[in-house]
Amino acid sequence: MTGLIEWRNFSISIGIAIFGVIYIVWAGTYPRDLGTLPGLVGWLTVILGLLDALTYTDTAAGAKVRRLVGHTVEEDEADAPKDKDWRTLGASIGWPAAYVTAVAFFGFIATTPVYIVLYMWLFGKRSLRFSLISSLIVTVIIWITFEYLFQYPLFDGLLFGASF
Amino acid sequence: MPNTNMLESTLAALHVLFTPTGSMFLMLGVVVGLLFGCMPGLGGTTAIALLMPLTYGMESNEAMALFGGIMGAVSAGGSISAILINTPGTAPNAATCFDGYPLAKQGKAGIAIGAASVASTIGGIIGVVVLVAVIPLLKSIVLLFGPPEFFMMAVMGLTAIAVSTGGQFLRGLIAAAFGLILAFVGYDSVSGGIRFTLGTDYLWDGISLVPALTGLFAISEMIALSVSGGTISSEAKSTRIVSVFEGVRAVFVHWKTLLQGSVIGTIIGAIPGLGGTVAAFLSYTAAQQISKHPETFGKGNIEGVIGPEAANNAKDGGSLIPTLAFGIPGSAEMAVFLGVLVLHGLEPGPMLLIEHQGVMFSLILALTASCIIATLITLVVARYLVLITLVDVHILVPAVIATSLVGVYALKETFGDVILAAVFGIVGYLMIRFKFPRVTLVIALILGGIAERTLHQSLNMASGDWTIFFTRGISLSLVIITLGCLTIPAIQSLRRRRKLEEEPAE
Repeated sequence: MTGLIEWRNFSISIGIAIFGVIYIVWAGTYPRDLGTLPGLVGWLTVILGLLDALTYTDTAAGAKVRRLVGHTVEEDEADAPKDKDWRTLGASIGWPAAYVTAVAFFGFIATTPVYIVLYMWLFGKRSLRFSLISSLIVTVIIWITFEYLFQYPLFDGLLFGASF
Repeated sequence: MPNTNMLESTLAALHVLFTPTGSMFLMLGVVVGLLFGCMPGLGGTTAIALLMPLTYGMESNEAMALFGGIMGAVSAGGSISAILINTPGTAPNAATCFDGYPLAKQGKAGIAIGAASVASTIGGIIGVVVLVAVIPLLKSIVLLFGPPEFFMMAVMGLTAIAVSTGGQFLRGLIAAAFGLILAFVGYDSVSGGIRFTLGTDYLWDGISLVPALTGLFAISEMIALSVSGGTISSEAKSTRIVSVFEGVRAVFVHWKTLLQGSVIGTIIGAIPGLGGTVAAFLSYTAAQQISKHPETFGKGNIEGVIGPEAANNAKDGGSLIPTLAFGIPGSAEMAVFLGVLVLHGLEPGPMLLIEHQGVMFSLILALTASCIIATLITLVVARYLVLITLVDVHILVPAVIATSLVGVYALKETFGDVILAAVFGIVGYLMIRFKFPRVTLVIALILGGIAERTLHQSLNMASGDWTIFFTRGISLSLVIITLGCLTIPAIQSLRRRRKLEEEPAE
């Protein structure tokens, strides 16, 4: 009997093996003293990725590897944190990404209160007033701690003359 | 100061702790540790990752006071939420829920908190005493180490931690391989060449450890909290906490349970990868076995609180043994702590105890003081501390993400670090989601450079002959232990299968 037990984890493991192959080729472009050990680690990644992929297949070899490494596929999904839905997951990852992008242009002090308000109001469904107050408190604490107490200058943003 | 003796180091560390700045950072660490320990989903690892960039300009001794304060207080904070709202603040506190929460429901929350606080303090002190006692021994062992031993130690540490990740052995090794791949980025100290920088100058110095750790352990946890949403707890309410001293007395009545838990915690903590959760549960089971009333476990037996809490705090001293002596952290918290050492110019590895003994004693004393201070604070303000778990996740998440990224930028004033931390935050969340252990990646990232350098040194010593790893006693022993570690999952699986086969016959 052949087939996949869990396609998502199987795909990830195959992706890792493919990355390993690309890395081996990349390591091969460097002189021997720079590329040998990375090349070996690349091979290790390929082998481990393929073995891991095998554990997610419904094959005799897969069952054998699962037994050898003590892997119980059923426990994977049971223990893993549950995705509520793809939109929540995408938004949870998207918010920090959007914050970093905005900071690059507008700097920390201008972006942080806006980020906190928008996150709490739009994503967290909190009242606008509560979100505004919370964002101002957090921003003031950050400003006092970093710029005033520790005297670390904060990034001003590309639009305000800062550079990377 | 290689020849500084232990007494001088202890006195110097005491001097630092008693300066106004040292005491202030210790107290700050204790408060942060209690708050982060009390809030499920945060914990000591996040606290250390978040505060790490702020310590860059500090003296190493003061930074150790801060982080020792955090480490010693986290488990005390975690026990409060475990007892009062049946939600463990940190994973090892889960064992405390079994009897702590039933006691709270019977109106004996004060007894449980008193017992948990004192048991964790005494456990913590026992762990530290063992650590101090083994330091001279460790120092004489590490002096026997040469490059082949250092290399094999790194390989053994990575393997042991990957093996200890439960059913995720392969994914532990894959995460370690990724850690090594990341460690190879940038300037190679052996040949002087530049590798895998994608053409950017930013990566010439390699992957910066602080942004990587902040992303992997602070931002990723916030993304996970954001996905789960809501408040951390809806059950927290101000509870009357009375008869605390009855709990304190119970610890001394059940001294065997206390001692047993402390020993288990110290030993388990010293084994890389096992960590506090295993120690606490093992101690709980052991406490049940020696109890005169094992049938009352799970229904509110105070011994079920004393055992796990003693083990939980004793493991800190134990896990510092491999972390400080060999640069092999026993847990995620210790892995992030290795990042702190690197940030302060203290290279993890066998020479740490010899070259920076004074700094290490600052940490040890701070850890001890923190256990005591955290207990005193807990006994007084536990009922209010638990209210922190009512904090809305949707305030916490953007506040922690913003603070983390500002901190990461402040360190070197490089925006590349901010981008790197955000990328590692997303990678860290995906690792949590798909069960790739982050700790093996971090250890490989930290040890990768050391491993590569010592590999080259070993091969140069032996004119390229790989048998050097098998012809030296300690190195060969480490090779054998590494191979032994690799067979553990197969043996465990075999034993499970045999047990399953035997069960129907019974």
